[in-house]
Amino acid sequence: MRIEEGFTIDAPAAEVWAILSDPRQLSELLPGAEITERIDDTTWEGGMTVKVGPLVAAYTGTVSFMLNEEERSAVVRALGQGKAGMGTAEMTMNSRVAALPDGGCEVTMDSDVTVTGILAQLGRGMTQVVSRRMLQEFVKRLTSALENEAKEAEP
Amino acid sequence: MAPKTSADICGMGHSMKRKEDPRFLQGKGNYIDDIVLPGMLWLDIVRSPIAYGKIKGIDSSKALEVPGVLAVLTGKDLEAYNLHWMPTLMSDTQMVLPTDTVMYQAQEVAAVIATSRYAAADGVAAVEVDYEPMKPVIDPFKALEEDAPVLRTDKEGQTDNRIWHWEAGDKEATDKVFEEADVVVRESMHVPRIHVASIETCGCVADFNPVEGHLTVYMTTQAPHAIRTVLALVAGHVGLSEEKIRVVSPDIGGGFGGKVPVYPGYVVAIAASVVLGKPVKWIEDRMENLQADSFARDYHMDAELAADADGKIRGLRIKTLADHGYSDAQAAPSKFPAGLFSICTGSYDMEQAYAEVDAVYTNKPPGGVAYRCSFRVTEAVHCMERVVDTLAHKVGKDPAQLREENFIPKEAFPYQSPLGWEYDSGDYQAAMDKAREMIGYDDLRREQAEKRARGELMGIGVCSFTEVLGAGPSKDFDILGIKMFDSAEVRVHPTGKAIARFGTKSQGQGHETTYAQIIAEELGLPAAHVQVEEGDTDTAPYGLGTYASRSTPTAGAAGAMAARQIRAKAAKIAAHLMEVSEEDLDWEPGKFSVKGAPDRSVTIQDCAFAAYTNLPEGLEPGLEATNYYDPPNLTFPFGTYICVVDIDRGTGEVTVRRFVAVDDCGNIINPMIVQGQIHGGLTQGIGPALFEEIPYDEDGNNLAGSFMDYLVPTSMETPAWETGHTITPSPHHPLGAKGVGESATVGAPPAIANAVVDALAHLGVTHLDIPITPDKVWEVLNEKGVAE
Repeated sequence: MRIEEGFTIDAPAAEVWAILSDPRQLSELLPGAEITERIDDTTWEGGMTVKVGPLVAAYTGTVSFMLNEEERSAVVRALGQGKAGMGTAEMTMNSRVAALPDGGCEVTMDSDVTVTGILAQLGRGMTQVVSRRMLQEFVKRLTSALENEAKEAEP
Repeated sequence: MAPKTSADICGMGHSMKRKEDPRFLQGKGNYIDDIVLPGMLWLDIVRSPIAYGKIKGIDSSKALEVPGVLAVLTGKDLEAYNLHWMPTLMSDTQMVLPTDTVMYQAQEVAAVIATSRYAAADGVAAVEVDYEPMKPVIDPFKALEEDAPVLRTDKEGQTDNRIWHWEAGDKEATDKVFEEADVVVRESMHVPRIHVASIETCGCVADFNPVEGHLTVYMTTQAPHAIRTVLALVAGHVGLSEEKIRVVSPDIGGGFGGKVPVYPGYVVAIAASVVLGKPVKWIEDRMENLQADSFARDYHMDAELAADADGKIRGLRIKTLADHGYSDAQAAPSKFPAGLFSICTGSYDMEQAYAEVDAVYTNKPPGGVAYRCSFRVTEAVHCMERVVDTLAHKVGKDPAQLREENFIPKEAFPYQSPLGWEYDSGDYQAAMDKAREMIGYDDLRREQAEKRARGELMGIGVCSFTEVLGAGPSKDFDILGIKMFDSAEVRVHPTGKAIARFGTKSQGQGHETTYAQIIAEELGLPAAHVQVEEGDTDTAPYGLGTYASRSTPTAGAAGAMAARQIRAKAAKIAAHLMEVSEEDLDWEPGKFSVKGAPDRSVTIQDCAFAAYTNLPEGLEPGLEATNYYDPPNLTFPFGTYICVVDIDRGTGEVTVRRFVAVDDCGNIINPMIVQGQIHGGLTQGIGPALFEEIPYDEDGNNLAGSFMDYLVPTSMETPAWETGHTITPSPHHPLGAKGVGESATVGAPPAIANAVVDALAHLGVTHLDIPITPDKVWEVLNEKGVAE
């Protein structure tokens, strides 16, 4: 399933990229995500909990980040095994931070998600809604993180 | 037709209230989940979340730590007893529990046995299974491509995913008819995978007594005797012997064919009881039921009709791909891998027909149960009735008129169909006339023309089906070699009351009432005094069970024959009591009288008492009879359904405004029950026509695995059904009756589909696959530029 999302934010591209390209910071901002251990330069171990309607799906697995600092783009691959017979989840996301003329930036995230098991069965039709809500929460947290940074940077 | 018996006797033709209903209506039914045995354990099943993959490991350690969990059974455990595989009714094989590979989502992977249902469920959640997913084969057409991976590597000699090829008819002669025809029409259609969705899911309580080696299985099964024999055949090597197996089918909350096959859950529960020496209960929850078993249909059909320029049908050609999922575990007679699909020529006379079906394996659960259908008759009728409409539109004739012009005339019965059936009786024009009159067909066509001129979308759909049911004559019909006869044992007690036992098993059909009425009709005992029992293999005579509308054609006939044997003996007793010869007796229901002296009479009750107290010399005491009835032919009920739909141009929603169903099932045993059967069947016809489908995504996920997504019709979607009937008795059935339970499920979907297509025909639409959901219609409306 393809999920295409994007948002604009009133902050310089370099600052936004600095957060989005740091897996630990990213996981703190993404609702339900957790990074537990670094395996190598590009790969981390972690978990993800998603609530879809009456279901809570918890996955553990790996996530890898291939970063292109020049283009401020990333390819993120996540592979999760669900707990309690929940099935599996795989995601490949291409994200990019592009500077806008007004000094802000635009973030685009195109994902290809494959889910098996109960979440795929019951989540159909809700997945888009859930991913949009997660993104809204993410943008909210990102905005406040950037504001906090800006406040800390003030003398 | 006026009943032959009085209301006190309540034989055939009386709308007797159902004898079973007081206990159902008062919540006093005895269903599988009501059965609780001392020391009983619970079983719950770990199921595969993926459609295809290797099992790298199963870790039960955390599950065994859950309080109350006693054991976790895996395929490896069953392998030790050689019980990890089982045969299907179609002589294919199926895993009970896998040892290394899972083949479909929701497949049984392991079983947790615990002291309570809750502990078992907690145990299931704690079992950790490590899978290595593989790319599943979901599309049946791709399954047959050369580079498709072979799924059944366990089967020796299996080099592709084809299960079998079946054909009927003369291909060459049919091709020739098509070459010479003025008109050829063609329609490709899919009758999708649907689910029986009965109100009660599947389950069992297996109770093995290790001291006596006796196994009792209380089970949701439509065919308890066949199950007992299958158990004896497949589990003989672990010490089960048929005389020590008792299968009891208690009250069943709807079967519809879904409770004919043997599912792994039953076998695991039995194995667990044998291993543990304790009763073990297994009950599916709703989602397990919707995801793992009881699937029907899934036929992809290409149908062609050859006709003269005026629409006279000359030939039919159908090419079919049947998606059976992981195993051919459908329930069909052994010699009929594609069921009775060859009924596809339907109500129409034609020179030649040829039908072929290829069955394939895919990574879906095993499918193909005969959901309220006499083995693929639903698919065959849908196919024919749709393409007949396509022909009508092509030659510019009214679809009702085109049907009438092609009907097998009533003088032609018994009729030999080009695909080999001998239709017993029919008067198709009479049913059509009655349906047209009831719905006011010509007025509706006028209304449609006016509405069409205003841009409103209204359609009228016609379906004139012929069914083939009551399997079946032993020369053709068997399941695993067991002939498809059925049986009745009737025993009249000294006080003139009776018990009647049958080899079938009601799942809501009302056998306790209708069988009693059959005995009442033949013996003149009040139906209220006839106790009917089914479902216990220790007491009921052997029979093949209830499905395919076979109960009245087979066991009902056996009941009538047994009653006649009893009446013959009663006549000897009556002659003895009145000191006349048998030839001097007249019979009217319930009474023998002396010819010419009608005041000298004895009742059947008098004869019953005398059978135990005052017998003529040389006559064996008692008054009972057993009959095993091997039907000489199947029965061919028919009917015409006409419905009217309105389509909302804004939303694409289809509303069934009126639906008239005229059925002919021969002589009627209980008109109220027949009407109830038709109402239920029509509702289970509107479901697949407009709402129901089990779709899978490309990864093999079941996308309608709960009632959130699998939409069964409720009273809100169901129109007020209008029913009528004609009566054309079966010439070979002892009571002139035919089966009826499935006619409406078969006839309703094409009537509704035809109505929707009829509403859109002027826009160039010739076909829509069922279920015809609002989004499908909305897309067509947009494509044709008529959406509001």
